[in-house]
Amino acid sequence: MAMTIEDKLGHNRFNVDSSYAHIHVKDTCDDQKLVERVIMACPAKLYSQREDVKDVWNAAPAASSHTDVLLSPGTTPWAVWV
Amino acid sequence: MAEEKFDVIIVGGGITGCVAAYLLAQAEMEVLVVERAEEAGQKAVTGGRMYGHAMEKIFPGFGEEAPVERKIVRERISFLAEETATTLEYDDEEMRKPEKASYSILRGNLDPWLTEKAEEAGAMFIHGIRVDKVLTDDKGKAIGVLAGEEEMYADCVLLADGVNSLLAQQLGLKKELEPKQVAVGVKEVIQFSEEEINKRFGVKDGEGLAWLFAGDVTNGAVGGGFLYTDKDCVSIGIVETIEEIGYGGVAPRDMVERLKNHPSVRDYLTGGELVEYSAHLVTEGGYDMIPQLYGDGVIVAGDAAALVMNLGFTIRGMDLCAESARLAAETIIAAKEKGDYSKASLSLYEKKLNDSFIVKDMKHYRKMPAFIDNHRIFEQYPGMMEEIMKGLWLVDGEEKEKFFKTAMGAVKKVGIFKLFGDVRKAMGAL
Repeated sequence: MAMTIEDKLGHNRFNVDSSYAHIHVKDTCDDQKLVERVIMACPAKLYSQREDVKDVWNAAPAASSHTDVLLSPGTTPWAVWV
Repeated sequence: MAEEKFDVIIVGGGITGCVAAYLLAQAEMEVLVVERAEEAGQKAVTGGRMYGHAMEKIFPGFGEEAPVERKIVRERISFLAEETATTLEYDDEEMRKPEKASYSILRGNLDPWLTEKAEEAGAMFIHGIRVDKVLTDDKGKAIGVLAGEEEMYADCVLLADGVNSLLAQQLGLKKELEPKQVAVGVKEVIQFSEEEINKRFGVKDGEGLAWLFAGDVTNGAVGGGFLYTDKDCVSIGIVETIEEIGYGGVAPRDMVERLKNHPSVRDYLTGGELVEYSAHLVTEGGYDMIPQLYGDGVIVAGDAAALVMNLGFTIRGMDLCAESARLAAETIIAAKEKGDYSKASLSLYEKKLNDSFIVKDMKHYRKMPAFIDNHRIFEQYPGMMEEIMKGLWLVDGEEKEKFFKTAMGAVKKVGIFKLFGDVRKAMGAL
Protein backbone atom coordinates (compact mmCIF):
# COMPACT_ATOMS: atom_id res chain seq x y z
CA MET A 1 0.00 0.00 0.00
CA ALA A 2 1.30 3.46 -0.88
CA MET A 3 2.36 5.58 2.05
CA THR A 4 0.61 8.85 2.69
CA ILE A 5 2.48 12.14 2.62
CA GLU A 6 1.90 12.40 6.35
CA ASP A 7 3.68 9.08 6.81
CA LYS A 8 6.49 10.21 4.58
CA LEU A 9 6.92 13.49 6.43
CA GLY A 10 7.49 11.43 9.53
CA HIS A 11 10.74 10.44 7.85
CA ASN A 12 11.66 13.94 6.77
CA ARG A 13 14.85 14.83 8.56
CA PHE A 14 15.41 17.83 6.34
CA ASN A 15 13.80 21.17 5.91
CA VAL A 16 11.36 21.49 8.75
CA ASP A 17 11.98 24.41 11.05
CA SER A 18 9.79 24.30 14.08
CA SER A 19 10.57 27.93 14.87
CA TYR A 20 8.84 29.55 11.93
CA ALA A 21 6.79 28.80 8.86
CA HIS A 22 8.57 29.23 5.55
CA ILE A 23 5.47 30.41 3.77
CA HIS A 24 3.41 33.26 5.11
CA VAL A 25 -0.02 33.99 3.80
CA LYS A 26 -0.17 37.68 2.94
CA ASP A 27 -3.54 37.95 1.38
CA THR A 28 -6.24 35.95 -0.29
CA CYS A 29 -5.89 34.84 -3.87
CA ASP A 30 -8.59 35.05 -6.49
CA ASP A 31 -6.76 33.03 -9.10
CA GLN A 32 -8.33 29.60 -8.76
CA LYS A 33 -5.87 27.98 -11.18
CA LEU A 34 -2.95 29.25 -9.16
CA VAL A 35 -4.55 27.93 -6.00
CA GLU A 36 -4.93 24.50 -7.59
CA ARG A 37 -1.32 24.51 -8.76
CA VAL A 38 -0.02 25.50 -5.35
CA ILE A 39 -2.01 22.71 -3.75
CA MET A 40 -0.59 20.32 -6.30
CA ALA A 41 2.96 21.64 -6.11
CA CYS A 42 3.76 21.52 -2.43
CA PRO A 43 5.78 18.34 -1.82
CA ALA A 44 4.60 18.28 1.76
CA LYS A 45 0.94 18.71 0.80
CA LEU A 46 0.55 21.54 3.24
CA TYR A 47 -2.02 23.45 1.23
CA SER A 48 -5.67 22.75 0.88
CA GLN A 49 -8.64 24.68 -0.33
CA ARG A 50 -11.01 25.97 2.27
CA GLU A 51 -14.62 25.33 1.48
CA ASP A 52 -15.87 28.73 2.59
CA VAL A 53 -13.51 30.98 0.64
CA LYS A 54 -11.27 30.71 -2.36
CA ASP A 55 -8.14 30.73 -0.34
CA VAL A 56 -5.25 28.55 0.57
CA TRP A 57 -3.61 28.24 3.93
CA ASN A 58 -0.50 26.76 5.32
CA ALA A 59 -1.00 24.16 7.96
CA ALA A 60 2.46 24.07 9.43
CA PRO A 61 6.05 25.02 8.78
CA ALA A 62 6.51 24.14 5.15
CA ALA A 63 9.08 21.94 3.54
CA SER A 64 11.61 24.30 2.06
CA SER A 65 11.22 23.36 -1.54
CA HIS A 66 10.96 27.06 -2.43
CA THR A 67 8.25 26.03 -4.85
CA ASP A 68 5.37 28.04 -3.69
CA VAL A 69 6.76 31.48 -4.11
CA LEU A 70 7.68 30.65 -7.68
CA LEU A 71 4.17 29.79 -8.60
CA SER A 72 3.21 33.33 -7.98
CA PRO A 73 6.16 35.36 -9.22
CA GLY A 74 6.08 39.09 -9.37
CA THR A 75 2.70 39.93 -8.01
CA THR A 76 2.85 37.30 -5.27
CA PRO A 77 -0.69 37.93 -4.11
CA TRP A 78 -0.79 35.58 -1.22
CA ALA A 79 2.44 34.00 -0.21
CA VAL A 80 6.05 34.80 0.21
CA TRP A 81 9.08 32.76 0.98
CA VAL A 82 10.89 33.88 4.12
CA MET B 1 36.53 47.20 21.92
CA ALA B 2 36.65 47.13 18.13
CA GLU B 3 34.14 44.88 16.36
CA GLU B 4 35.56 41.64 15.07
CA LYS B 5 35.92 41.76 11.34
CA PHE B 6 36.49 38.72 9.16
CA ASP B 7 38.30 38.57 5.88
CA VAL B 8 35.36 36.69 4.38
CA ILE B 9 31.84 35.83 5.46
CA ILE B 10 30.33 32.96 3.52
CA VAL B 11 26.55 32.67 3.48
CA GLY B 12 25.61 29.00 3.16
CA GLY B 13 27.43 25.94 4.43
CA GLY B 14 26.73 23.55 1.57
CA ILE B 15 29.34 22.21 -0.83
CA THR B 16 30.18 25.63 -2.26
CA GLY B 17 30.41 27.30 1.12
CA CYS B 18 32.46 24.53 2.72
CA VAL B 19 34.93 24.18 -0.15
CA ALA B 20 35.51 27.94 -0.31
CA ALA B 21 35.87 28.10 3.48
CA TYR B 22 38.39 25.25 3.44
CA LEU B 23 40.55 26.87 0.76
CA LEU B 24 40.36 30.36 2.24
CA ALA B 25 41.19 29.09 5.73
CA GLN B 26 44.13 27.16 4.30
CA ALA B 27 45.36 30.47 2.94
CA GLU B 28 45.21 31.74 6.54
CA MET B 29 42.28 34.02 5.97
CA GLU B 30 39.74 34.66 8.73
CA VAL B 31 36.59 32.95 7.48
CA LEU B 32 33.11 32.75 8.95
CA VAL B 33 30.43 30.50 7.44
CA VAL B 34 26.82 31.24 8.40
CA GLU B 35 24.50 28.33 7.69
CA ARG B 36 20.77 28.33 8.25
CA ALA B 37 20.45 24.66 9.11
CA GLU B 38 20.99 23.56 12.69
CA GLU B 39 23.38 20.86 11.48
CA ALA B 40 25.52 20.47 8.39
CA GLY B 41 23.59 18.85 5.55
CA GLN B 42 20.24 19.20 7.25
CA LYS B 43 18.79 21.44 4.54
CA ALA B 44 20.71 20.13 1.58
CA VAL B 45 19.15 17.78 -0.95
CA THR B 46 20.69 16.14 -3.96
CA GLY B 47 19.37 13.48 -6.32
CA GLY B 48 22.16 12.73 -6.33
CA ARG B 49 25.37 12.05 -8.09
CA MET B 50 28.55 14.05 -7.85
CA TYR B 51 31.24 13.94 -10.51
CA GLY B 52 34.46 13.65 -8.54
CA HIS B 53 37.01 15.53 -10.67
CA ALA B 54 36.56 18.95 -9.05
CA MET B 55 36.73 17.56 -5.52
CA GLU B 56 39.80 15.47 -6.39
CA LYS B 57 41.62 18.72 -7.22
CA ILE B 58 40.76 20.14 -3.80
CA PHE B 59 40.87 16.96 -1.71
CA PRO B 60 43.22 14.49 -3.41
CA GLY B 61 41.90 10.99 -2.76
CA PHE B 62 38.37 12.37 -2.32
CA GLY B 63 36.74 9.19 -3.62
CA GLU B 64 38.56 7.09 -1.04
CA GLU B 65 38.37 9.39 1.95
CA ALA B 66 35.02 11.19 1.68
CA PRO B 67 31.78 9.56 2.81
CA VAL B 68 30.52 8.95 -0.72
CA GLU B 69 27.99 6.17 -1.16
CA ARG B 70 29.00 4.24 -4.29
CA LYS B 71 31.11 4.81 -7.37
CA ILE B 72 28.78 4.93 -10.37
CA VAL B 73 29.92 2.37 -12.94
CA ARG B 74 26.71 1.85 -14.85
CA GLU B 75 24.47 4.36 -16.61
CA ARG B 76 20.90 3.53 -17.49
CA ILE B 77 18.24 5.68 -19.10
CA SER B 78 14.67 4.50 -19.63
CA PHE B 79 11.80 5.89 -21.64
CA LEU B 80 8.69 4.76 -19.83
CA ALA B 81 5.29 4.07 -21.31
CA GLU B 82 2.51 2.93 -19.00
CA GLU B 83 3.72 -0.65 -18.72
CA THR B 84 6.95 -0.76 -20.67
CA ALA B 85 10.43 0.66 -20.55
CA THR B 86 12.79 1.19 -23.48
CA THR B 87 16.18 1.27 -21.83
CA LEU B 88 19.70 2.17 -22.84
CA GLU B 89 22.45 0.89 -20.57
CA TYR B 90 26.14 1.72 -20.57
CA ASP B 91 29.04 0.20 -18.64
CA ASP B 92 32.54 1.62 -18.84
CA GLU B 93 35.74 0.63 -17.05
CA GLU B 94 36.88 4.25 -17.31
CA MET B 95 34.19 5.25 -14.86
CA ARG B 96 36.35 3.59 -12.22
CA LYS B 97 39.28 5.99 -12.72
CA PRO B 98 39.39 8.66 -9.98
CA GLU B 99 39.59 11.56 -12.45
CA LYS B 100 36.52 10.31 -14.34
CA ALA B 101 34.61 8.80 -11.45
CA SER B 102 31.25 9.93 -10.16
CA TYR B 103 29.66 8.98 -6.88
CA SER B 104 26.21 8.66 -5.42
CA ILE B 105 25.97 11.07 -2.52
CA LEU B 106 23.79 11.64 0.51
CA ARG B 107 24.26 15.21 1.66
CA GLY B 108 23.44 14.30 5.21
CA ASN B 109 26.72 12.34 5.18
CA LEU B 110 28.86 14.46 2.87
CA ASP B 111 28.22 17.93 4.28
CA PRO B 112 29.33 17.16 7.86
CA TRP B 113 32.59 15.77 6.45
CA LEU B 114 33.15 18.92 4.39
CA THR B 115 32.32 21.11 7.37
CA GLU B 116 34.85 19.23 9.48
CA LYS B 117 37.50 19.67 6.78
CA ALA B 118 36.88 23.43 6.68
CA GLU B 119 36.88 23.69 10.48
CA GLU B 120 40.15 21.75 10.71
CA ALA B 121 41.63 24.23 8.25
CA GLY B 122 40.57 27.05 10.57
CA ALA B 123 37.20 28.25 9.28
CA MET B 124 34.55 29.18 11.81
CA PHE B 125 30.94 28.01 11.39
CA ILE B 126 27.71 29.30 12.86
CA HIS B 127 24.75 27.00 12.33
CA GLY B 128 21.06 27.68 12.81
CA ILE B 129 21.07 31.35 11.84
CA ARG B 130 19.50 32.78 8.72
CA VAL B 131 21.19 35.70 7.00
CA ASP B 132 18.52 38.25 6.15
CA LYS B 133 20.59 40.93 4.54
CA VAL B 134 23.98 41.79 3.13
CA LEU B 135 25.16 44.99 4.80
CA THR B 136 26.50 47.64 2.47
CA ASP B 137 28.25 50.97 2.96
CA ASP B 138 26.98 54.22 1.53
CA LYS B 139 28.60 53.41 -1.81
CA GLY B 140 26.89 50.04 -2.05
CA LYS B 141 29.94 47.92 -1.21
CA ALA B 142 29.20 44.77 0.76
CA ILE B 143 30.69 45.07 4.23
CA GLY B 144 29.07 42.21 6.11
CA VAL B 145 25.79 40.52 6.88
CA LEU B 146 22.84 40.78 9.19
CA ALA B 147 22.36 37.33 10.67
CA GLY B 148 19.50 37.04 13.10
CA GLU B 149 19.83 40.26 15.10
CA GLU B 150 23.58 40.40 14.83
CA GLU B 151 25.63 42.43 12.40
CA MET B 152 28.83 40.75 11.29
CA TYR B 153 31.49 42.46 9.21
CA ALA B 154 33.95 41.31 6.57
CA ASP B 155 36.06 42.59 3.68
CA CYS B 156 34.22 40.27 1.34
CA VAL B 157 30.93 38.36 1.33
CA LEU B 158 30.60 35.12 -0.61
CA LEU B 159 27.01 34.20 -1.40
CA ALA B 160 26.63 30.42 -1.48
CA ASP B 161 23.05 30.44 -0.27
CA GLY B 162 21.54 28.12 -2.82
CA VAL B 163 19.15 28.11 -5.76
CA ASN B 164 16.83 30.82 -4.58
CA SER B 165 19.47 33.30 -3.45
CA LEU B 166 17.36 36.05 -2.02
CA LEU B 167 20.52 37.89 -0.97
CA ALA B 168 21.81 38.06 -4.55
CA GLN B 169 18.36 39.33 -5.54
CA GLN B 170 18.46 41.96 -2.80
CA LEU B 171 21.78 43.23 -4.14
CA GLY B 172 20.42 43.40 -7.67
CA LEU B 173 22.83 40.73 -8.89
CA LYS B 174 20.13 38.22 -9.71
CA LYS B 175 16.58 38.41 -11.01
CA GLU B 176 13.67 36.70 -9.34
CA LEU B 177 13.51 33.11 -10.57
CA GLU B 178 11.00 32.30 -13.28
CA PRO B 179 8.91 29.12 -13.14
CA LYS B 180 10.38 27.80 -16.38
CA GLN B 181 13.93 28.18 -15.07
CA VAL B 182 13.55 25.91 -12.08
CA ALA B 183 12.07 22.57 -11.20
CA VAL B 184 10.89 21.02 -8.00
CA GLY B 185 12.61 17.79 -7.04
CA VAL B 186 10.97 15.33 -4.68
CA LYS B 187 12.98 12.43 -3.36
CA GLU B 188 12.74 9.37 -1.16
CA VAL B 189 15.55 7.34 0.33
CA ILE B 190 14.64 3.69 0.70
CA GLN B 191 16.79 1.45 2.80
CA PHE B 192 17.90 -2.13 2.20
CA SER B 193 21.07 -3.92 3.21
CA GLU B 194 24.27 -3.38 1.24
CA GLU B 195 24.13 -6.99 0.04
CA GLU B 196 20.55 -6.56 -1.12
CA ILE B 197 21.47 -3.51 -3.20
CA ASN B 198 24.33 -5.47 -4.78
CA LYS B 199 22.04 -8.35 -5.57
CA ARG B 200 19.09 -6.38 -6.91
CA PHE B 201 21.11 -4.06 -9.11
CA GLY B 202 23.85 -6.48 -10.08
CA VAL B 203 26.67 -4.35 -8.71
CA LYS B 204 29.71 -5.01 -6.54
CA ASP B 205 30.51 -3.56 -3.11
CA GLY B 206 31.20 0.14 -3.47
CA GLU B 207 29.91 0.32 -7.04
CA GLY B 208 26.54 1.44 -8.25
CA LEU B 209 24.09 2.55 -10.86
CA ALA B 210 22.65 5.86 -12.09
CA TRP B 211 19.24 5.45 -13.69
CA LEU B 212 17.21 8.24 -15.28
CA PHE B 213 13.62 8.06 -16.51
CA ALA B 214 11.47 10.05 -18.91
CA GLY B 215 7.90 9.61 -20.04
CA ASP B 216 5.16 8.03 -17.98
CA VAL B 217 6.66 9.09 -14.68
CA THR B 218 5.58 12.72 -15.20
CA ASN B 219 2.56 11.78 -17.27
CA GLY B 220 3.87 13.82 -20.17
CA ALA B 221 4.96 16.92 -18.27
CA VAL B 222 8.49 18.25 -18.75
CA GLY B 223 10.55 16.48 -16.13
CA GLY B 224 11.78 13.05 -15.28
CA GLY B 225 12.76 10.54 -12.67
CA PHE B 226 16.00 9.34 -11.16
CA LEU B 227 17.32 6.45 -9.14
CA TYR B 228 20.77 6.20 -7.64
CA THR B 229 22.09 3.27 -5.65
CA ASP B 230 23.63 4.38 -2.37
CA LYS B 231 25.61 2.17 -0.02
CA ASP B 232 22.68 0.52 1.74
CA CYS B 233 19.79 2.45 0.25
CA VAL B 234 18.31 3.77 -2.95
CA SER B 235 17.64 7.45 -3.75
CA ILE B 236 14.60 7.67 -5.99
CA GLY B 237 12.68 10.72 -7.05
CA ILE B 238 11.36 13.02 -9.71
CA VAL B 239 11.96 16.49 -11.01
CA GLU B 240 9.27 18.59 -12.65
CA THR B 241 9.63 22.07 -14.06
CA ILE B 242 7.61 24.50 -11.95
CA GLU B 243 5.88 25.90 -15.01
CA GLU B 244 4.64 22.40 -15.86
CA ILE B 245 2.96 21.69 -12.56
CA GLY B 246 -0.58 20.63 -13.31
CA TYR B 247 0.15 19.76 -16.96
CA GLY B 248 -0.18 16.00 -16.66
CA GLY B 249 -2.61 16.17 -13.77
CA VAL B 250 -0.22 14.42 -11.41
CA ALA B 251 1.27 16.24 -8.43
CA PRO B 252 5.07 15.97 -8.10
CA ARG B 253 4.70 14.12 -4.79
CA ASP B 254 2.48 11.54 -6.54
CA MET B 255 4.93 11.16 -9.41
CA VAL B 256 7.35 9.56 -6.98
CA GLU B 257 4.74 6.90 -6.22
CA ARG B 258 4.08 6.53 -9.94
CA LEU B 259 7.76 5.87 -10.57
CA LYS B 260 8.12 3.50 -7.63
CA ASN B 261 5.17 1.49 -8.88
CA HIS B 262 6.14 1.34 -12.53
CA PRO B 263 6.61 -2.29 -13.64
CA SER B 264 10.23 -1.64 -14.60
CA VAL B 265 11.08 -0.27 -11.15
CA ARG B 266 8.83 -1.75 -8.47
CA ASP B 267 10.56 -5.11 -8.08
CA TYR B 268 13.82 -3.35 -7.27
CA LEU B 269 12.17 -1.63 -4.34
CA THR B 270 10.00 -4.34 -2.81
CA GLY B 271 10.49 -4.68 0.93
CA GLY B 272 12.59 -1.54 1.33
CA GLU B 273 12.02 0.87 4.19
CA LEU B 274 11.50 4.59 3.62
CA VAL B 275 14.03 6.49 5.71
CA GLU B 276 13.94 9.99 4.23
CA TYR B 277 11.54 12.19 2.30
CA SER B 278 12.73 15.53 1.01
CA ALA B 279 12.23 18.16 -1.66
CA HIS B 280 14.12 21.05 -3.16
CA LEU B 281 14.31 23.44 -6.05
CA VAL B 282 16.59 22.54 -8.93
CA THR B 283 18.01 25.07 -11.36
CA GLU B 284 17.13 24.24 -14.96
CA GLY B 285 17.86 27.38 -16.94
CA GLY B 286 21.43 26.60 -18.01
CA TYR B 287 23.92 29.17 -19.21
CA ASP B 288 21.37 31.92 -19.81
CA MET B 289 20.37 31.84 -16.17
CA ILE B 290 23.82 32.75 -14.81
CA PRO B 291 23.44 36.03 -12.93
CA GLN B 292 25.85 38.90 -12.35
CA LEU B 293 28.57 36.99 -10.51
CA TYR B 294 30.25 39.71 -8.49
CA GLY B 295 29.87 43.19 -7.13
CA ASP B 296 31.72 45.50 -4.79
CA GLY B 297 32.85 43.23 -1.98
CA VAL B 298 30.63 40.33 -3.00
CA ILE B 299 30.83 37.14 -5.07
CA VAL B 300 28.06 34.68 -5.99
CA ALA B 301 28.94 30.98 -6.40
CA GLY B 302 27.48 27.51 -6.73
CA ASP B 303 23.73 27.01 -6.98
CA ALA B 304 23.21 30.68 -6.11
CA ALA B 305 24.97 31.43 -9.40
CA ALA B 306 22.76 28.88 -11.22
CA LEU B 307 25.74 26.68 -12.02
CA VAL B 308 23.80 23.54 -12.88
CA MET B 309 23.51 21.61 -16.14
CA ASN B 310 20.53 19.39 -16.83
CA LEU B 311 21.42 17.56 -20.01
CA GLY B 312 18.61 15.06 -19.90
CA PHE B 313 20.99 12.10 -19.88
CA THR B 314 22.86 13.40 -16.85
CA ILE B 315 22.62 16.22 -14.36
CA ARG B 316 25.66 18.09 -13.13
CA GLY B 317 25.69 20.60 -10.32
CA MET B 318 27.89 19.60 -7.43
CA ASP B 319 31.11 19.48 -9.46
CA LEU B 320 30.31 22.94 -10.79
CA CYS B 321 29.66 24.15 -7.24
CA ALA B 322 33.01 22.82 -6.01
CA GLU B 323 34.92 24.32 -8.92
CA SER B 324 33.21 27.69 -8.62
CA ALA B 325 34.03 27.69 -4.90
CA ARG B 326 37.68 27.04 -5.73
CA LEU B 327 37.76 29.86 -8.27
CA ALA B 328 35.96 32.22 -5.89
CA ALA B 329 38.49 31.39 -3.18
CA GLU B 330 41.40 32.05 -5.54
CA THR B 331 39.86 35.38 -6.48
CA ILE B 332 39.37 36.41 -2.87
CA ILE B 333 42.92 35.39 -1.95
CA ALA B 334 44.23 37.51 -4.83
CA ALA B 335 42.03 40.40 -3.68
CA LYS B 336 43.45 40.19 -0.16
CA GLU B 337 46.98 40.24 -1.51
CA LYS B 338 46.14 43.43 -3.37
CA GLY B 339 44.09 44.80 -0.51
CA ASP B 340 41.37 45.48 -3.03
CA TYR B 341 37.91 43.90 -2.81
CA SER B 342 36.32 46.26 -5.29
CA LYS B 343 34.07 45.12 -8.12
CA ALA B 344 36.95 45.58 -10.57
CA SER B 345 39.22 43.40 -8.47
CA LEU B 346 36.62 40.67 -7.98
CA SER B 347 35.86 40.58 -11.72
CA LEU B 348 38.79 38.14 -11.83
CA TYR B 349 36.25 35.54 -10.66
CA GLU B 350 34.22 35.88 -13.84
CA LYS B 351 37.35 35.60 -15.96
CA LYS B 352 38.34 32.43 -14.11
CA LEU B 353 34.86 30.99 -14.54
CA ASN B 354 34.87 31.81 -18.24
CA ASP B 355 38.19 30.02 -18.63
CA SER B 356 37.00 26.98 -16.67
CA PHE B 357 35.06 23.92 -17.78
CA ILE B 358 32.01 25.38 -16.04
CA VAL B 359 31.18 28.17 -18.44
CA LYS B 360 32.67 26.34 -21.42
CA ASP B 361 30.45 23.29 -20.82
CA MET B 362 27.41 25.39 -19.99
CA LYS B 363 27.90 27.32 -23.23
CA HIS B 364 28.21 24.10 -25.22
CA TYR B 365 24.85 22.97 -23.92
CA ARG B 366 23.20 26.39 -23.95
CA LYS B 367 20.36 25.20 -26.18
CA MET B 368 19.62 22.15 -24.05
CA PRO B 369 16.96 23.76 -21.79
CA ALA B 370 15.01 24.89 -24.87
CA PHE B 371 15.36 21.45 -26.45
CA ILE B 372 14.16 19.64 -23.33
CA ASP B 373 11.18 21.96 -23.06
CA ASN B 374 9.29 19.82 -25.60
CA HIS B 375 6.30 17.71 -24.64
CA ARG B 376 6.89 15.21 -27.43
CA ILE B 377 9.99 13.92 -25.59
CA PHE B 378 7.91 13.08 -22.55
CA GLU B 379 4.53 12.39 -24.07
CA GLN B 380 4.97 10.83 -27.49
CA TYR B 381 8.43 9.38 -28.00
CA PRO B 382 8.22 6.83 -25.15
CA GLY B 383 5.02 5.47 -26.75
CA MET B 384 6.63 5.47 -30.18
CA MET B 385 9.56 3.49 -28.86
CA GLU B 386 7.22 1.10 -27.09
CA GLU B 387 5.39 0.37 -30.32
CA ILE B 388 8.64 -0.19 -32.23
CA MET B 389 10.02 -2.49 -29.54
CA LYS B 390 6.82 -4.50 -29.40
CA GLY B 391 7.17 -4.96 -33.16
CA LEU B 392 10.66 -6.30 -32.66
CA TRP B 393 10.24 -8.61 -29.74
CA LEU B 394 6.65 -9.65 -29.09
CA VAL B 395 5.74 -12.95 -30.69
CA ASP B 396 2.37 -14.60 -30.10
CA GLY B 397 2.06 -17.05 -32.99
CA GLU B 398 -0.13 -14.72 -35.06
CA GLU B 399 1.19 -13.39 -38.36
CA LYS B 400 3.53 -10.51 -37.64
CA GLU B 401 3.35 -7.26 -39.55
CA LYS B 402 6.57 -6.39 -41.37
CA PHE B 403 8.74 -4.55 -38.87
CA PHE B 404 9.33 -1.60 -41.19
CA LYS B 405 5.58 -1.07 -41.42
CA THR B 406 5.21 -1.24 -37.63
CA ALA B 407 8.08 1.18 -37.12
CA MET B 408 6.81 3.64 -39.71
CA GLY B 409 3.33 3.43 -38.23
CA ALA B 410 4.74 4.40 -34.83
CA VAL B 411 6.78 7.23 -36.31
CA LYS B 412 3.83 8.56 -38.32
CA LYS B 413 1.78 8.89 -35.15
CA VAL B 414 4.30 11.46 -33.95
CA GLY B 415 4.88 12.92 -37.39
CA ILE B 416 7.95 12.29 -39.51
CA PHE B 417 8.77 15.97 -39.94
CA LYS B 418 8.34 16.63 -36.22
CA LEU B 419 10.65 13.73 -35.47
CA PHE B 420 13.30 14.96 -37.89
CA GLY B 421 12.92 18.47 -36.53
CA ASP B 422 13.45 17.24 -32.99
CA VAL B 423 16.45 15.14 -34.01
CA ARG B 424 17.94 18.23 -35.63
CA LYS B 425 17.30 20.28 -32.52
CA ALA B 426 18.84 17.54 -30.40
CA MET B 427 21.96 17.57 -32.55
CA GLY B 428 22.13 21.34 -32.23
CA ALA B 429 21.67 21.19 -28.46
CA LEU B 430 24.28 18.47 -28.04
